[in-house]
Amino acid sequence: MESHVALAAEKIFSIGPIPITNTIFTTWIVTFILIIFAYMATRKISAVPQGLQNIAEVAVETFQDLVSTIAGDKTKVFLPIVGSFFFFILFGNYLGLLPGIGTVGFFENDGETFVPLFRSINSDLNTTVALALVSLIATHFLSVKYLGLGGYLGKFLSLNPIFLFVGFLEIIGEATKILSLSFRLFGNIFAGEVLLTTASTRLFAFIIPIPFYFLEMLVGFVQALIFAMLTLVFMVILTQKSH
Amino acid sequence: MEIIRNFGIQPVLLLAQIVNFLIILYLLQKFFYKPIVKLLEQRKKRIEESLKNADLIEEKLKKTQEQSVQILAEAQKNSQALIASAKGESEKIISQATLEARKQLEEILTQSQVQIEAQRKQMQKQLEKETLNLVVEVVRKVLERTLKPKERQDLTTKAVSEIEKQIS
Repeated sequence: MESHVALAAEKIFSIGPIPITNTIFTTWIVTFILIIFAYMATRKISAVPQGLQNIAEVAVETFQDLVSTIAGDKTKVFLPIVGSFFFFILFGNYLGLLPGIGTVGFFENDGETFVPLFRSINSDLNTTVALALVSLIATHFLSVKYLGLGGYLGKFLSLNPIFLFVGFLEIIGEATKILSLSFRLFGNIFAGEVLLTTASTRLFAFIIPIPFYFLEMLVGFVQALIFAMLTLVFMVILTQKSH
Repeated sequence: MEIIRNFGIQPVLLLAQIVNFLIILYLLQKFFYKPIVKLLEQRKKRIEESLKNADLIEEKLKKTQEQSVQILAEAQKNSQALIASAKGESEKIISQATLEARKQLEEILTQSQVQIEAQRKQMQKQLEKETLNLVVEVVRKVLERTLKPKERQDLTTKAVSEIEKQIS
């Protein structure tokens, strides 16, 4: 029995009319872990850090430093959004590497198709497109907030025909951001899933996949960072006054 | 839209993921970034304050040290002046006392000299008287008679002058 990773996420059950895929299910788990971690880290917050608070502080402070080098005085607004993207994607990617994800499941259609119970969240285009949409909407929302509606529209519309054309290109660019953000993340993680599945079944299931796991850990971190940084850069660009 | 179907994109799932992420965003913002960023800021402020305080304390300490050195120097100067003045005073007192003592001594000396002189004079007078009586007695015994007032007078004067000549 060969296992292969399907392009689309599989439905495992449905609540009423809403189908619940294994990605959605895994997303809930990631969400739960993330929130529990945040809650545990800040439950007994004190000036003298203890336990999880140390990790949380290091994470937030490092990320804050990184964001403030680009965003400057807007750090306080951008940090939660950019940080959430980073931590959510990172947790999702690393959870997807755990054993059992993608391999524990059940068979459907009389044992013909294998349906895994869990699936790495970013190997489903639904998740990445959703993230890209949130990123883009947040960016434009912040742009309106910082520049006002006039300043925001001035970025795309102009009476000068040349600038009007440039503005038109910018609008297309904004739309492509969704594609680039979502497909980059999806492509990398999905390819990783395929790679790991192939490495652990077709080639050899012992020892050989270990280097690939290290590679995927690196990819998972880098992709989370790239998504967060791109969102940050888009935000900074769109909230700057046009000249 | 074959490609969308192939990738398994469904509006419901998209919406579910968006809502899910928004929930994460809200909860993390409330329970994670806000308290930690606040704490980090507070700690930064506190560290800055305590560093400033440390500088202030150091400065104060330096000033106090300088002051104490100054006070010590002043005290030393004062005490030296005090000692010097005390020494001068004591010398004055001593010299005065010496002077007084000498004066008293001289006084006593002169007094005693005067006394001695007086005693000597008295003794001389007594001696004169006794000598005179003795002379009178001797003359009476020798002459077997009493001298006439005239002779007596002469003799006495003679004797007195003789005695006086011998004494002085």
